[in-house]
Amino acid sequence: MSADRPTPERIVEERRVLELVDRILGLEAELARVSVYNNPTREQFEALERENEGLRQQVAALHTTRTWKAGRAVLAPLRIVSRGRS
Amino acid sequence: MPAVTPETLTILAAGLPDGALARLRDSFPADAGEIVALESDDASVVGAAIDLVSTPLVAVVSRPLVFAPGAAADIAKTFIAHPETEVLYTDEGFVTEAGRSDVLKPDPAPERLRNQYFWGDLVVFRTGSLRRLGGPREGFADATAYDLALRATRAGLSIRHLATPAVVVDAEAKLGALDESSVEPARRALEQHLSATGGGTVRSIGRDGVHDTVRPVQGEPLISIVIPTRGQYLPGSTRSYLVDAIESIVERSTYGNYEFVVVVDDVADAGVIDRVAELAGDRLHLVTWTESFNFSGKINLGVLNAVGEYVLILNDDVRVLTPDWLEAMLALAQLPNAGMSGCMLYYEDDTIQHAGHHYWRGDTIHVGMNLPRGTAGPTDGYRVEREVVGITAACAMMRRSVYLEVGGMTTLLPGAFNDVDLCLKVLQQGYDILWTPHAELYHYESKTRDARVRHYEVATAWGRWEHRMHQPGYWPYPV
Repeated sequence: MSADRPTPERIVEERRVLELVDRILGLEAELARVSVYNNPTREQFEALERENEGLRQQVAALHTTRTWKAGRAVLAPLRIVSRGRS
Repeated sequence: MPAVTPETLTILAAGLPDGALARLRDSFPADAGEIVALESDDASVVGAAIDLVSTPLVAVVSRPLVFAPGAAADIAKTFIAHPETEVLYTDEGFVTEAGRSDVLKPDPAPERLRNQYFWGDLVVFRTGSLRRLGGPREGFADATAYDLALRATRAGLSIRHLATPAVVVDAEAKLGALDESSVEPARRALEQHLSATGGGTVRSIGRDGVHDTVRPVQGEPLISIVIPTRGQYLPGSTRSYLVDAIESIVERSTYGNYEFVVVVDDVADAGVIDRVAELAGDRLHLVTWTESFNFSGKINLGVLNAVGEYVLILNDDVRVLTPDWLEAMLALAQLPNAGMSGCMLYYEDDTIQHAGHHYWRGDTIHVGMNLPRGTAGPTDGYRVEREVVGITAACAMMRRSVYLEVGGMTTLLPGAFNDVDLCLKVLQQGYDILWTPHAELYHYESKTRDARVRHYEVATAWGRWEHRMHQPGYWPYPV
């Protein structure tokens, strides 16, 4: 089982991505809530949109790092097996 | 003869006694459509009558009921407002000596439907849809409506629930109750349904309307059981909840392919860790947590270290009761659109701690909390596998890929509501959450952690999800 275990470096990166994805989904939820209850001004709405876009860019940037690509390459066969099962 | 409009309804009153037919006629407005009396509820008689219906909507009524005032209009309005609707069922009322009570039903829930026919005695179809479906089939006795509901569901018809007691029935009857002669027909209908929708087993048919059907486990994927823990003995004791939990899992579980990913604080007692290593053997992967308390962060770290296709988030203060608990949860987690699956948790005193989440008028609670073990719940909800809006992270299974897709558990909520947030993210991404009563565990809730709720946690969770904190669809019962 331990052969497939991700390296500590990869886990550090994945933790960062996980938190960014969470923040994006959280902001999307917050945008929806604000839209429902607060009738936000265009400025408020655009500020949240900008924050969201910034987080998306950070995720995209992480996906271009060498560590991330190396990790994806190593794990690619596992992903294919996983897709085949589901 | 009423004018035929796009929402005109024909009621086929199938084999109703004269008195019941008269009461039905009295309750049904003349401008809503017409009532056609059939001499029996035999499927061939009903089927022939459906072929002759000239209105766009049709319903077969084979048990005594009356329409509530305004209900026929509400039904018509629903079809107008939601023109895609092909099938509509409603809540029901019944009269007792104490007055009228209502039977509130869940929204369409295909997995619950395979365990319980909850649509009731009035189901309105678009006539063309019912004809395309083939109408009622012969040989299903009292289970004819159930068979029709299962077929409508697997045919992908657009089904809607009108959350209004549109009809009043004579007396309270268990939803979907069957007479003895209908038990085998119900079994046949369910077996056909399971076979056509991914497989499964009918373990029992209940005359009280509650059936035990289960989905199959596909293959034997690795499950990573992720347990965050302080890893310490209880104060003044040589007992450790973590050791007890691991021991019960190792000793009781019938599922073979799992690993433990134990995320343990760096203050753990060496004796506890040694005993866990002894019990778990090479299934154990230990991860050390050196940061300040953050339940979400610990779970995230555990999942990132996990290599299973599925992860089971588990508190360290649980004890397994049902040996096939992992199979029961996995079978649901493997369903095509499943995001998460949860289980039945009991307190140590054999009262229910958790039978799913309930988000009601801005609050979040555990369904069934503090009721005695064995309680059936409203419309037998604690007895059936069903769709839910959320489950506790004390014991939650999901595909690891789904966990990563939704960003895991938010570290903004270190102690409370992180599971509510996770569930709402999973729902937001379009996945289903399912719950089973067949995986049962004890949970010594909050005996091992600080259970206080902080103001900032409420502000964070509601800041994201206040607009989703009232979801009565799968659990329409007030707190």
